[in-house]
Amino acid sequence: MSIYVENLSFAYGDKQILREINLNVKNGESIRIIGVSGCGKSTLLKLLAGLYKAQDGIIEVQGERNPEQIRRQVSVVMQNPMLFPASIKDNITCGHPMSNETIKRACDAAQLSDWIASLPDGIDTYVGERGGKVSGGQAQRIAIARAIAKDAPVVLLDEATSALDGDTSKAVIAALESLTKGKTVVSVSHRPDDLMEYNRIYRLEGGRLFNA
Amino acid sequence: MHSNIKATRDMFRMAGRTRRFSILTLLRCPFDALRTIVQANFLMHAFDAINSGNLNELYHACGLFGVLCLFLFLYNGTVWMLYAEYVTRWVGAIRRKLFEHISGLSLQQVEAKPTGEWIARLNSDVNAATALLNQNMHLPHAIVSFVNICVTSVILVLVNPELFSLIIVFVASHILLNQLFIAKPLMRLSMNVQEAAAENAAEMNALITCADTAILYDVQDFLLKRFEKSSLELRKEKMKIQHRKAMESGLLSLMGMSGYLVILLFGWRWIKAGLMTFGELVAVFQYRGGLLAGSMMFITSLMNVRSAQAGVKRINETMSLSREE
Amino acid sequence: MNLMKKLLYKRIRLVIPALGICILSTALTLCWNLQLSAIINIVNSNGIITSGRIIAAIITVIACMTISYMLSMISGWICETMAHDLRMGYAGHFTSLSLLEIDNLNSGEQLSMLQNEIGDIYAFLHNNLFSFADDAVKFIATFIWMLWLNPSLTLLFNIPTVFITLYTAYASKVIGKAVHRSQQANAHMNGFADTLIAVFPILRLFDAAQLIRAQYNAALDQWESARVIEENTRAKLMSLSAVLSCIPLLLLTLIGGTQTVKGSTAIGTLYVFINLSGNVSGIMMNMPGRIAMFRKFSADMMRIEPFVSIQTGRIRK
Repeated sequence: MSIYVENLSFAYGDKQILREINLNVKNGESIRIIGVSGCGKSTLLKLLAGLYKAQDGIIEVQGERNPEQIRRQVSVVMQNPMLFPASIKDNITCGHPMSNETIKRACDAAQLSDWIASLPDGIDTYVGERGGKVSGGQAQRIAIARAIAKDAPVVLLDEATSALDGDTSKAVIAALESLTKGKTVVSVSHRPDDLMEYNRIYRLEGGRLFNA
Repeated sequence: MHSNIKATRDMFRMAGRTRRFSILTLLRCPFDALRTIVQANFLMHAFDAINSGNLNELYHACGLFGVLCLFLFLYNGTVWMLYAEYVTRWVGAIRRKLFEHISGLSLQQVEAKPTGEWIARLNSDVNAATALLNQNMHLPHAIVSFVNICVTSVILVLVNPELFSLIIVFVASHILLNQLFIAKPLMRLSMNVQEAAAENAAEMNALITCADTAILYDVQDFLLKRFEKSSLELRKEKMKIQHRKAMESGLLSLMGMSGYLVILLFGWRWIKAGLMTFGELVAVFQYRGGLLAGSMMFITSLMNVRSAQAGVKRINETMSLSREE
Repeated sequence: MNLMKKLLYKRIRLVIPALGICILSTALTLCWNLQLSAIINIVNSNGIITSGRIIAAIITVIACMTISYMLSMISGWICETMAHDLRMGYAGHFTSLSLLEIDNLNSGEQLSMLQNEIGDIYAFLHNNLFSFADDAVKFIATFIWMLWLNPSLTLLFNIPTVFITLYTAYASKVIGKAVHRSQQANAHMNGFADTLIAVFPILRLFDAAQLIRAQYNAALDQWESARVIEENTRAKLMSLSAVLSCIPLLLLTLIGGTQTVKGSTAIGTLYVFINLSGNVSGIMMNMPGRIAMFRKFSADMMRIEPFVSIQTGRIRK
């Protein structure tokens, strides 16, 4: 089992967000969770990513229960890509030692290579404060390249396709397809339709998970 | 008091290089007292020389004063450079450790507080806490002024104990009135100002974060009026502080000038009786000035050190949060 | 400094009386020194200080106390009102933005601007605006008064002041540059606080804390070296300025003392000259620091100017 969740509950203070969530996702399976804004989708994703500690219940990702270990098993792509005020290369490697080949592969898969080749400083181009020197689509693809380079077995997508417009969506979708190929995927979104395909779809409502 | 000392000690321990701080503070200690002594002695000898019509002695006093000033400010400039470098590295060490600590917290801890709170912890709190060594009147100033008070007091007692008593009466009553009607209410009023400032910042936050909604529902004027109300409230609270500061300014004129006048009149009687020279009276005025300035500096420094404690405590609190890494 | 002009013009009805009080305060200080001079001359000639003279001195003390209180109150009121105008101008700017501009707003950055830049401007207005005006009035009035009392002594002891002024202008320029560099480094370093919180999830997910720490430390190192250069420059130039500022006192005692011995100047006059020399040379001594502060203030003003819309036209609130 790639993701195993049993009786997971979570609250912010007195406000109960998730109630007795049970979820099983097999290796290579992709699922989608939909729900209205504020229903707890992002919280669930943060718990699955090991960013939050579960208050009640069990979360197991690739056999790991410790949040720090879980984080090693997952890659996350968010709606608003967060970039470091550093070079494209540093944004992909996150400061970790990585071979040029791995970086190039990640850039190819994320549809970044042609754009990078056109830049005077290439992969060492500075992306600016909050990624201010690159477009939204380019920033999103850098974030995807980062996730590809990490090569984690589980991919979590947080509204990753919600803000795409016509011109950039094709490149981003292609990049996301490269990222998710052969991986366990959990995608959360407030929109019922999506540009990608999934094995199962769930609905999060009142803190509980239902089959959609 | 004890908790303040402990908090300061913890922060110094975190930043390290405490021994260097002690050495540099010791090096700074004699400057104010030496400057008072040099100036008082110069004026005393100069006026005695003028009164006795001895131009040679006057030129000698002037020459010596020039040389001593040169050495004094050379010394001060050197210590200032060393101290400034120390403080910069000290602030840098605190910033470095704080950033490292916060970047090692869990996302859950970070998201539990608003973004502004973390920005304040990394920037404003450091500024507030490092004001201990960094602002105009700070911890070493308290020590330097204390040395100045002690040295000038001893000299005044040796020169003329009666005049010293007279000076102390004025200085002590000045400080007492200052503490009763200015310093104490100021602490309370400062807290009110902080509350009003926080409210004003919250209104500004609403104005920025709800700007899009405000356009859609045409409530910009409503938000702006709320902001204006909080800004006027802030002005009102700050003016209460200003009122006390104006009282302080008036008190300074009253006590300073009347004290001067009384000493001059007493000095006149002693000079008339042949117990004192005019040069000595001028030197007494200089020592009185040193004592008064030293006392004011001491009180202001202690108040600043006390207000910096809020930042020190928040830094220690941040550093005590358990890291995830 | 267009913004500053607008702020001052808006509150001109308060600024003019405040300047009047500044002038009155200096006049009273000079009056007090005139009385002191007379008393000291009596003390030196073993004469009698009459009760009328003492009463006049007491009245002057009370008048000085009252005027000090009034000056502090009115200058405080003006500064607080200008700070309010500034805050309102800043808030008003957000209500004039389009939806697109609002979407691109970084609320953390904007709030930090309110706390940092506007805070610094307020601190400058509060601590320096009227003390600048007060110093200018004191300097001019004392100099003219001294010229009237003893023109040769005034001119002779103030000759070095001209060179000190030139030196301070140079020093303030050098310090200003150093301050600017350290401010830029400080702003860059402070910007990391916002970045850290914005990228925090990525930091944890991709174990990238070391990357941002390395960047922050590099910014911190830059700030440290800029700050050390700034402080070293300030210490060197201001120490020299302090030494130079002793020269007027030295010349005053030397020339004034010689004149007194030769009988062309009264000892009381010499004493008040020494007492008031701070109003001339003392103000000069503080010039480098003051001008550097003014440069910082002006830089802060320029930074926030695009974000502040001040309604011109005088209002009363």
